[in-house]
Amino acid sequence: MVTILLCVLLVSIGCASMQVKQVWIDETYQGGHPKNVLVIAVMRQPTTRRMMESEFAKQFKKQGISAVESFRALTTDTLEGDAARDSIVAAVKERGIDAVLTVRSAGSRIEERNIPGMTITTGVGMPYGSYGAWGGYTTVMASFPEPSAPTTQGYSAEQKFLSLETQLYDVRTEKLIWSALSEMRISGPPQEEINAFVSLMSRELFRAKPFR
Amino acid sequence: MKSRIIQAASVAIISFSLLASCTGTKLVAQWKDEAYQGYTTKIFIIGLSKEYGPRTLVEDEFVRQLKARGNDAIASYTVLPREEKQEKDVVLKKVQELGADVIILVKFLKKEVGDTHTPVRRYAVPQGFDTSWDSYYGGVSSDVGVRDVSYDYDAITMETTLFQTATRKPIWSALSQTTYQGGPMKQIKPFTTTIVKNLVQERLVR
Repeated sequence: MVTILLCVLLVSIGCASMQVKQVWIDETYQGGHPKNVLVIAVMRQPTTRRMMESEFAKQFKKQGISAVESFRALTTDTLEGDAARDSIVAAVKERGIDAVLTVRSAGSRIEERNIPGMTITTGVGMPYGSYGAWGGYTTVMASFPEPSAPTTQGYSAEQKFLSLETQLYDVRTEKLIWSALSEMRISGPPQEEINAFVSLMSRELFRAKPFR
Repeated sequence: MKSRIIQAASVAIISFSLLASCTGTKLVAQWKDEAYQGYTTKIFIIGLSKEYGPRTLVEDEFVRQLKARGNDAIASYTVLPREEKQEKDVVLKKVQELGADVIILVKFLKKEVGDTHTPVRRYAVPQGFDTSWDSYYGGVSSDVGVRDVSYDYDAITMETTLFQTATRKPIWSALSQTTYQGGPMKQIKPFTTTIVKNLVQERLVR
């Protein structure tokens, strides 16, 4: 039992569903704390975009920083093509934004895992036989028709991973000041991971230089 | 013989459980504008579909379920011409004329085919325990096995959005996934029920 629990613990530690792969900070940034942030989640589905932006806005507000979700200022079509930059600049000026946070997909990958078949052999006399004192117990039990060990068949399973890139830009200089690459394991609809992702990214972001 | 019956029963139970747990509509993502405080009085339903038949079925079901709960609702196909695609401004003008303060837009996003597979498993039970005390000592092996269980299903992803007519801004939206076997038309009613139920829970409709 202890062995099984240890295995489960090790597997769960080794397979964290979400992790930050890289973080970059502009150490030369001198612009001070952003006070009003525009959050842009570049997502195909409007619901996903709204969920992501609203969740980030909530995290900023918790820190006492004003945040505007882009869907309130920019329609999806204005974020497409060459005119996107002009639309963002106009929204930034209109709302007095001093930093822009963007989130976009950085690709996905599929990993194939082979799960071998297993036979669970704990039971009849096994752990105790080596102590000697329980040898008789083994003998007695062996006289009963033993239940055969439960087995599972080996199989392979695909595991999908999604990478997201989160970046923070300073509006005054139009330069990148913070960037993070994260990867999450997807076992259901990716939207279910949004809150956990935003929470993880916020922790990273708020301990970075622009917010310290 | 007995063990074969147990095997068959196990396969049937597991298949039924898998089907029951994997069919139906579930919301995979939901968003609501926390700042919205209003309450709807008249709802305009738009089913975005290239095919007229499914569009009318979806719109009618929404109207039926919303009216049954005491809301006022109108299906777009009853007031907008069928032949040509309407411009957004034309639709909005019509909605305002009718006095609808919110629009429910139901949009089909994609259809996927999937399969569920449960690999073989064998469970051990004491031999003969299910027949009589004597046969417990009979020495006849009786593993209760579960064979490979697999079946195909279809999954449709829809996006439903509630817009405020006055501001033209979204108030609520959800991505839903409906999994089923057989014809998709039978899923319109349970899909609508799931969406309406969530709108009621969010206090956006009665």
